[in-house]
Amino acid sequence: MKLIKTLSLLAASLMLSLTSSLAHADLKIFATVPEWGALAETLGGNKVQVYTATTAMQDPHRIQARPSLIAKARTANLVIATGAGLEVGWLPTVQREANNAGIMPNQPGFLEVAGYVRMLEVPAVVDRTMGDVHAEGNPHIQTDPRNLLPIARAISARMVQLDPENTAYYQTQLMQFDQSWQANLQRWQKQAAPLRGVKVWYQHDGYPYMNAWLGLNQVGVLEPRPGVEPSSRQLADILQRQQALQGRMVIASAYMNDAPSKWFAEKANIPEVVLPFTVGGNEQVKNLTALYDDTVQRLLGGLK
Amino acid sequence: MLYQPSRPHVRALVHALCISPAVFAMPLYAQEAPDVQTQITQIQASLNQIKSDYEKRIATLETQVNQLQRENTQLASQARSTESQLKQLAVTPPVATPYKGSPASRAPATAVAQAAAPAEESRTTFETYPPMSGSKPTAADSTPAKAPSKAQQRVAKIESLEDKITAVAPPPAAAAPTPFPNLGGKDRTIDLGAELFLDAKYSSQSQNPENPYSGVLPNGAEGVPRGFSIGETELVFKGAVDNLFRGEARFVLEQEGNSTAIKTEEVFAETLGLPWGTKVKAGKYWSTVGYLNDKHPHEWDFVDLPLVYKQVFGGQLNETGAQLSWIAPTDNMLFKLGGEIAQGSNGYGESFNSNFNQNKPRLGTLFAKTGGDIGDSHSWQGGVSWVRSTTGSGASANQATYTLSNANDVNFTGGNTTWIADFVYRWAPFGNPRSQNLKIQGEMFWNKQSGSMTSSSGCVDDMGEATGCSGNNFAQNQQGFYTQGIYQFIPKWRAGYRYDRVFNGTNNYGLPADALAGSQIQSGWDPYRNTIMMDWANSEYSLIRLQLARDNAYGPGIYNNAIYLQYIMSLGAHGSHKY
Repeated sequence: MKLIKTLSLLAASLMLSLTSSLAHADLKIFATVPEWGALAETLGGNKVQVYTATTAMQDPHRIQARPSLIAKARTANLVIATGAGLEVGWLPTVQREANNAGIMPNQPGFLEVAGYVRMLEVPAVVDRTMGDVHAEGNPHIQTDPRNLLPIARAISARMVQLDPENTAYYQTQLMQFDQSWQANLQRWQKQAAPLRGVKVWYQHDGYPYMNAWLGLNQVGVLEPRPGVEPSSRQLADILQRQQALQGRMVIASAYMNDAPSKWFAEKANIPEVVLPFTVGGNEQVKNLTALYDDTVQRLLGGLK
Repeated sequence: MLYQPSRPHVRALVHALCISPAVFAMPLYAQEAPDVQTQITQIQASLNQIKSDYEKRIATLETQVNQLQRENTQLASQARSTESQLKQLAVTPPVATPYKGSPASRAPATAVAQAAAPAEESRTTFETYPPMSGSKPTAADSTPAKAPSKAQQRVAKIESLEDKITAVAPPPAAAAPTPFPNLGGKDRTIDLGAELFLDAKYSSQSQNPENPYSGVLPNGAEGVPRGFSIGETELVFKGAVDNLFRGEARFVLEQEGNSTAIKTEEVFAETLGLPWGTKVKAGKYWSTVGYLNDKHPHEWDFVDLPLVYKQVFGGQLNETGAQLSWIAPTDNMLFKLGGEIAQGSNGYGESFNSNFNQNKPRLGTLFAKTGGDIGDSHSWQGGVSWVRSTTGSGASANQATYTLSNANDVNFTGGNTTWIADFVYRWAPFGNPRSQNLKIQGEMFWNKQSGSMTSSSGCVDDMGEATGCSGNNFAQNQQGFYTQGIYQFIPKWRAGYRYDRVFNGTNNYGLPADALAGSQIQSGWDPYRNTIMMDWANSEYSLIRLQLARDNAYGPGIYNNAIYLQYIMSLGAHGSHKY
């Protein structure tokens, strides 16, 4: 008797959650990283429900295919991923396990935005001995805000494709974003003018797009191979090279353990700059505009 | 930003860069190249070329700036005049004011957009040669004391011009959107990911791992042999068949005595396009029951399986059949239900229930799983599973045969039911498992077998001669569990502990005591084991593991002190692992 009661209670709660999820006709969006989640929210406004699978404190490359991710992917209408191998360690499992036909590769419900920008650092040959090198090019495309314009167009087009009833709405949102972003780009361009040609070190080779945007001169990377932490001997070697190269600052990202950068900054007597890398990377960065505002300000701070 | 090298300029510069090492290299090299003088003249020529290019560029940029400024003032005056016209008309309410400025402000935007078009080209070129433009301003920075040279003056002039332009022109847009992903011409018609896992071990053990466990029926599970051995070399092919199906095949090279055997570990196809969160999978595969059951040896946290898996499933439940699963459309928590029917022809205790070439499948499973997150740092999954199989009866019965340690063969006819409860908890600070993470897991098994048993010998007939005999009301209730914790304390290094035990429970073999005399099941022993391990993973693809175990599975007072050293290497496509 008690068992039946429990079972019926369980069934009732299941039905409830089922109906509640059916009641929302909004487009459900599963974004792999915060930057695409924020962009989808901007472009979809009140017509979409956005779930972001990772936080700014997580390395999008090393995520476990947790049950909650599978549950979210099960009901998603659109999965927005970076692609270029960034999520290869977990997204294929989530897609396969979620029993959701709409979000499989080559379906309208799956969008890899790296396909819409020009990739940098595309290697001619990829070999496991190189470490975590991506055959498709460097996947950290969000470090150049100019890339967000074509990506916004691609995301908006998918929203229209999946939810044609609200076409006009999505197009207005896109237009608004486009205009405000152009203005932002102009502003950052002016603000970041002193950064042009400045020599910088990076802990992880995650910013080739930012280098292209701001004209920063990357003199080197602390990690011996992408994703591999430098040993103390390797750091000492880099410190030697710094004497000749004279990098002005060392740049780390919020999600990683910045101990190597800290050590190097102290020994070389140059500032360490920890960039937010994505939305939520620090307390100030609550949206996309703040992300690049903060990035530019932190870099300028490193010049002093 | 607006660096616009002409084609001959680039050529000249590249030329200069290429030959300059030849000039300034070691004297030995210079001796070998007697025409240094001509090279110097060449460099001088190319430098002159660069100089004239720069001058040309300054001229074009100046004209551009002048033009833009002209246009700007023109348009501004136009706007002012339209505004004053409108004010004269004085019919427009103040609401319309924002619109007044817009045609005027948009007009220069389009004008400068045209001017920005070559700027975009220049960006492309700029990115191709980042060190050139990057080093210039810093070179100027480093010599502030000296009087600015002509070249520095030029650089300063260009920069001021560029700043003027950026002040009026919008920044260049990012690369134009491409209609199709520009990831290159990868041949996706052959979507076949191949992976190869290599696994080799060395082990030293104080007991023979081939000895049977005490207190429980033998099950065909194999221990890790002593000395050097190769474990499972696993070759995986997988990929999408088309838009509706996906296929996967795993072949295993396994050490079998002195030779190597090739086995089919998994061969299945599954659907990709079924509606309502359902999926069908058919073929030979590892059942989704329990937690560890569908994990491949390269995903295990220890060298070997828990005792209870070996005892109940003779390893892992691997069956030929079909599976249907469903995931509830819930929001945050995962609810997954599923069931399988299978032939019961392989895997389950090796010799157990060999139901080959029979219409009726004899094994069924049901499973339910749920899981979720607690904040960013914690996640969990729990499940309940049920497995039922029968040997059948009568002519089509497929008896399970066990060879006891007293060399007596016993045959079982009946049913076998197993319940499994499993739980996994994971912790990673802020959900970032890279440097530190913790995984705690446990599974409990309740296994019940009932039916009848016959024995090949052990009874005495009327004539006083040894003979086979049959018993009734065979009933075995046994339980088992394991619990383990794996802690990654620094990047690449993990340590773990596991405790596992099997309880022989309440048993009635229904056979005369003679049939069981001297065999392992006479003792009523509950095998248990303590295991610790530490592993080091250089990358996601390689792992070296050391494991120590004190195993009391072979009977009271008999300890198997074991040390294992193992490596697991993976080659091929980047795998993505289950939770």
